[in-house]
Amino acid sequence: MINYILRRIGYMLVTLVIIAVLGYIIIELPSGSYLEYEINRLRQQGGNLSQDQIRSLEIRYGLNDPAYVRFWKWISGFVVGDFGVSFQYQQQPVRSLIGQRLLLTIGISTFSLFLAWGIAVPVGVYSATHRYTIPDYIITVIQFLGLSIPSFLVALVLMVFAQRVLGQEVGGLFSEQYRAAPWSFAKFADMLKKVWIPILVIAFGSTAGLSRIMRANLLDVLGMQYIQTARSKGLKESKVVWKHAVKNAMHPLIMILGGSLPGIISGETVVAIVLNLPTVGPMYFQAQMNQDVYLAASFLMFLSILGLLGNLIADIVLAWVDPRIRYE
Amino acid sequence: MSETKKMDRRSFLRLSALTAGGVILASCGKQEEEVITPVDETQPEDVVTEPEDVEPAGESPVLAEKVASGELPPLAERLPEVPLVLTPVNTIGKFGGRMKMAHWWHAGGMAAGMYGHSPLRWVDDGLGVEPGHVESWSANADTSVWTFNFRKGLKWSDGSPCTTADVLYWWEEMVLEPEHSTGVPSELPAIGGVLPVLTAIDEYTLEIKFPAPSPLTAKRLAMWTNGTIGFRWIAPAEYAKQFNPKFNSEYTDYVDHDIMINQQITPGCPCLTAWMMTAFTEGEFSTWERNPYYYCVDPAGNQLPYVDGVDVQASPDAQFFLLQVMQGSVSWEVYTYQLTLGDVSTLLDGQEAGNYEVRFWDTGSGTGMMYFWNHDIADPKRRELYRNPKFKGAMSLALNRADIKRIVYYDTGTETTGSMSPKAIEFNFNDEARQHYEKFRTLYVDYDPERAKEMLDEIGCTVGDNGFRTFPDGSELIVRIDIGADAAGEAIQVLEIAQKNWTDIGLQIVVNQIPPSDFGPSWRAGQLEFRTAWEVGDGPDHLLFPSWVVADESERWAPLCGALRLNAGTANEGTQLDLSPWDRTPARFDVNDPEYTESAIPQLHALYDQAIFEPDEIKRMELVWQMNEIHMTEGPYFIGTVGNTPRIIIVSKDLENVPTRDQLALGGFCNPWIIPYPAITNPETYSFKNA
Amino acid sequence: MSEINLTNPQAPEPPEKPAFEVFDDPVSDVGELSQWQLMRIRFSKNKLAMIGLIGMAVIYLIVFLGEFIAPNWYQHQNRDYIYGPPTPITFRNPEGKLGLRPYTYATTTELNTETFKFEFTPDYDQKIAVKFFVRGDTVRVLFWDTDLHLFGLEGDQRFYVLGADGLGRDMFARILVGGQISSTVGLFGVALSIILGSVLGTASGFFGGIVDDMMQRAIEVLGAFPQIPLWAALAAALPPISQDFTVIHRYFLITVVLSVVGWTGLARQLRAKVMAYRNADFSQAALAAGSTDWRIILTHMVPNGASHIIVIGALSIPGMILGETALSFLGLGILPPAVSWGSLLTDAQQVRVVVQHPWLLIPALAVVITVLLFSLIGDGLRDAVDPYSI
Repeated sequence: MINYILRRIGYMLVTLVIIAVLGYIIIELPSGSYLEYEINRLRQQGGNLSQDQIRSLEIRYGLNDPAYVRFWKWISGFVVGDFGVSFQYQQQPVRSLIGQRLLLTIGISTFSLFLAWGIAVPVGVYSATHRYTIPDYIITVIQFLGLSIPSFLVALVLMVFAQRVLGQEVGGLFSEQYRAAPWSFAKFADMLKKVWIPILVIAFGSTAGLSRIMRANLLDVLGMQYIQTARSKGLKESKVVWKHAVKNAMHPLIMILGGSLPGIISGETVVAIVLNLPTVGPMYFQAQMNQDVYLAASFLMFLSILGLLGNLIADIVLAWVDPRIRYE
Repeated sequence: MSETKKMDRRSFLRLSALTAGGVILASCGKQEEEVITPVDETQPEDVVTEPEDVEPAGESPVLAEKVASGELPPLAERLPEVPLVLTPVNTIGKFGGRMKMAHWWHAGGMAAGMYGHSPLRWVDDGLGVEPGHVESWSANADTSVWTFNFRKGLKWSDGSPCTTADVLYWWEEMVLEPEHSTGVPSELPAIGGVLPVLTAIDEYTLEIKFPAPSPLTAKRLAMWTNGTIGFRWIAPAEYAKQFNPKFNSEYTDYVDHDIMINQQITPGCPCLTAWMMTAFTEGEFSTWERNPYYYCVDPAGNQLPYVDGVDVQASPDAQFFLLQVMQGSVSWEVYTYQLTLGDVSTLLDGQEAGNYEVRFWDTGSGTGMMYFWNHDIADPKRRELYRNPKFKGAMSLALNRADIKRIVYYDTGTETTGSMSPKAIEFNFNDEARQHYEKFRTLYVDYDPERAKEMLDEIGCTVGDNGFRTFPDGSELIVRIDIGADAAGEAIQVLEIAQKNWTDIGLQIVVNQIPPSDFGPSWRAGQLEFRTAWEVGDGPDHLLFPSWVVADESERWAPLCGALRLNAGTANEGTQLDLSPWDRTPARFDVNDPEYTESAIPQLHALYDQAIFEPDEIKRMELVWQMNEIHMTEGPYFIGTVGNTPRIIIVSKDLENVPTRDQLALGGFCNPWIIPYPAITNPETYSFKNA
Repeated sequence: MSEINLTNPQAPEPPEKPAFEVFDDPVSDVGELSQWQLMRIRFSKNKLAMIGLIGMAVIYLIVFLGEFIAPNWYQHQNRDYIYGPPTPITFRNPEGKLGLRPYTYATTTELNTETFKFEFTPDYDQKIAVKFFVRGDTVRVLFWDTDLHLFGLEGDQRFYVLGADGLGRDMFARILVGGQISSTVGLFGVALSIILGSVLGTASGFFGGIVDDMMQRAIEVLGAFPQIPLWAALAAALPPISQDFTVIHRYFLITVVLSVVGWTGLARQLRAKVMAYRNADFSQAALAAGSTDWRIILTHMVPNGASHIIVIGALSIPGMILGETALSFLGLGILPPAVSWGSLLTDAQQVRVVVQHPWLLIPALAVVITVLLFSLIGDGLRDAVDPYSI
């Protein structure tokens, strides 16, 4: 197993390099560049740039250099912690831009994750073991609503509902007096009042899907012979279900969980835009749209690192959970 | 519903006196040097106080405390000797309170709505130009030398003196310095390759010497708010030198320098605006507190601003912004670009619960959603057709503007063929001007599909076998409308109506949505045909930002002609002549290319070049009329739909001194960025009723 | 048993032919139904599954006949019914008696420039009958042009079952026509993704070792690609919209590309499952019997993941339908004049709609119903395929 882990880490490093190169190429792929965006912006404010001025901007941003020069500049900085500057945000360092958002994003996403899984697994199990009962039907209906109604619509409706019916102030995560203040219990309490909508929306969509997956896989397992055997041995039903059946039905779910790691920092982009959450998703999205190459590439690297880590962890957990699975 | 306020004779005289800056009308023929100092005329008729000789009297209790404890010098020392007097539109305000805003833009963008850094300010919706942080100014007889007198004792927000050295620092280290420059502002253009010369005569007197007469200088300096939109004009020299690699070897490039003097992203950076930023997180929020050294007072001598601070929340999403307004989290907002008139009903319904008022100020747009062809498209057959006035006129006559006005604009605004703003001086200052505007406006404004079909038949675009019209030579004609895929809903709405209208006269229309990043390069290279999703915002003077009238850049209707101008006087001029204009890098015409000389654009260029150096006001206007005549006979180069629609303004019921439409000189002129709204309404005079 | 004739020794009579079908197989002498027939019978006995199947068939019928069923052409703009509500109907005829025929009222529209609202005033004294098989807009139904509609009003006024949008277009017509795209093109993408994900994921898990390692690394790289520049570059590379290359063609191409990139999740999940039972007895037996690896993968491994595959398939449907518009801002989704449920919902994404014109959100109901029906079918399939269920 140790050998396997070491080998995987080796693969990870190689994959990261490949991702860095390919990803950067893709980011620079669309014609036009950030300069396009900047020139447009300046022109709309009345600064008609002459060709000389455009050239000087190109030099300043290094856009005259071929792409591999920019790439090298970025990646050599990246490995020592300098992630470059952002064009859109007036040359503020990428590092501070990402750092500001990261903690909050991780907090919201992790909490939603726990909530979603905490609900989805028991509900899925219940649904599978109590098929064709009234509660199962009710759960199924709610699941379908959660699946089919887009989360951005749910977010909007929930916000309107909260404002008009509950009379609550929606918007952002902090009230004015806490925004610039350092973290305190009061600030945390203020955030809790506002953060329930984002968490509810994010969890609602994913819970439905997860519980149905749980249900389907568990139904498979419950039909297996060894479950009959366990029952005939006189084991309590709950032990049969949880200790034997669920454990064997978990495989795809473990993979899904591992795959959610990058999502924890990117967060749900569309919902975040609608709810105006200061999370990483919208910033990554804008960076890609406006070809803010260093910002986008840095995000890409972080997300990829997490993604690869998530896969590795999932694979290890899988082997730990199921003794039949062996890696050579 | 909206009418352009007519300029009366008195306003016109005021205007000419101010903007000519002391030049006697050339018809008088005098040549001696006569200097006229403009008079401060900010207050409307009903406020009695005399603006001159206002003694500093009151200050905010917050600041008074700090004076008492020794943190700040007393009021008289903080204000310049002659502070700028701004008159609130309703009443003298009360100190105190904090405003809340939800900004669609960059979190620190509030500074863009304040006039503090500008040497001069527009007043009365562009009818006049008045002092900003400059106390007075004058020009010589031919307007080639301008002298500006700064306020003695003017200070930055950190208490350091603000002098002409700060202007020169900007000019020399940030504009002229090749390592650092991002270009020369259009207020100080190079004429014939020669830049103007800025000299500090003393600490408070600045002289600008142009190589040629520059009568528009005062108006140009009043454009934008500077420091945020447009070029800086002034930078805190002592503070900035710390980060300048020329003066401090710790820094190797200008990146940190530019960040540290940018008041929109660096809290605590010295500035001249009413509020200064104290906290900021990109994309989230910014917090602003009053600037204790702000150089403006009200007529009673109280130091402005009244309001203690502003808390801005970034809200790029339109729906989110709407909800913020409806729950009362917005004290005022003028930048309501994300909203459309379709959202007004929801806003009106929520006024009670949210404790706010919806007001409408005119945008002053020449036209709202508009369309234009690519005058310089690569394909010669198309180029010929898209330059044919009858083809363009037919497309304009086919548009049912009444429907567009009703469905998209809720019966606001004025139907128009498409021109510069109806509030522009050249359209207003006398009867002839007004007739000129009407002629332009009504040129192809009627909904006359039958006449449109006739016109198309006349030029040979007859209906072919498949039921659609063809090129004059019989080949298939498909008009492809290229639109950036992220175009606003309003653009799509109007487009769907327009598409139906044009299909009804037999044109085959195809809408092609392309990724936004790809749009610019393709348009400039003459690959795209027909464009929308834009407005003609500009005014108040055709010549200040003339890009819609004169093809001087490559984003609008004549990209290659514009590229010719952009490359004039650079190393590119006269090169790559063996290549076709569309193959050149960048794609551009040369002065001798037939595609350029055979069009009407050289005439437009020549008229413009003449106009900007013409010191005589009336002669300038006549030149502008000639330019518009070319548009009317050789064009239209762009077609408009509905112009001067209202801008939605949100004002909390607790806030006063925010003008209503009737209190604005021309009813509002929100669209052009060169007349900066809300800066021109003096947000520093807004005050809470129960502070 | 026949008597043995001593005087004439002959072969005994052959035994009677059995009463049921005998196949050529000499080993078996019982009647046999093939696996597929068994599954079909089991499926048809499942009431819920049949509801799903019949329901989907009805939906396909309705959407493809949508232009005939709806009273108006889905593109017709009506300046006199902007954001109009669903047409009110009554079953009282002009004499005041209750009957079977629905009536609606003559309605006038005013734009209130004070409130910025369009106001619709029905005249309760003027009733207009809703007739069946009326002549209206000329529309294209499948391959024919016709102006016959299932129901509607005669005269200038129009019947709006589910209200109208911001340009006065009939939402009922738009939902039906939009269903044509949402119920077909998107599903193709889902199917493609499922096939790719199942086969490749199972293979990866089955083979293990280097093959598994390499495939997983490829999946990781594929998944890391930044989406937006990729699609932007693709969009720029596509030919512009024309008569031959319509929005639909472009969208179809996009779904294919999207599926080629989107199968990785399912692949990883199935790989996990497969690794558990690739060493089970039945697969060992198949190996011993001489099956090739691919035969084992396709006929033994993949079907064991059937439950999971089916549920993922059902879960992907709303994603695909709603994801139609995810790339619209790049010019790659369903853009006007084409219409789909996804694009209708995206347009309805406004506070104004939620508060004032909620009928524009009904496409969400269409999505819910479609997902429900497909899930019922999916559940039924799962039960039919499962060898252990009764």
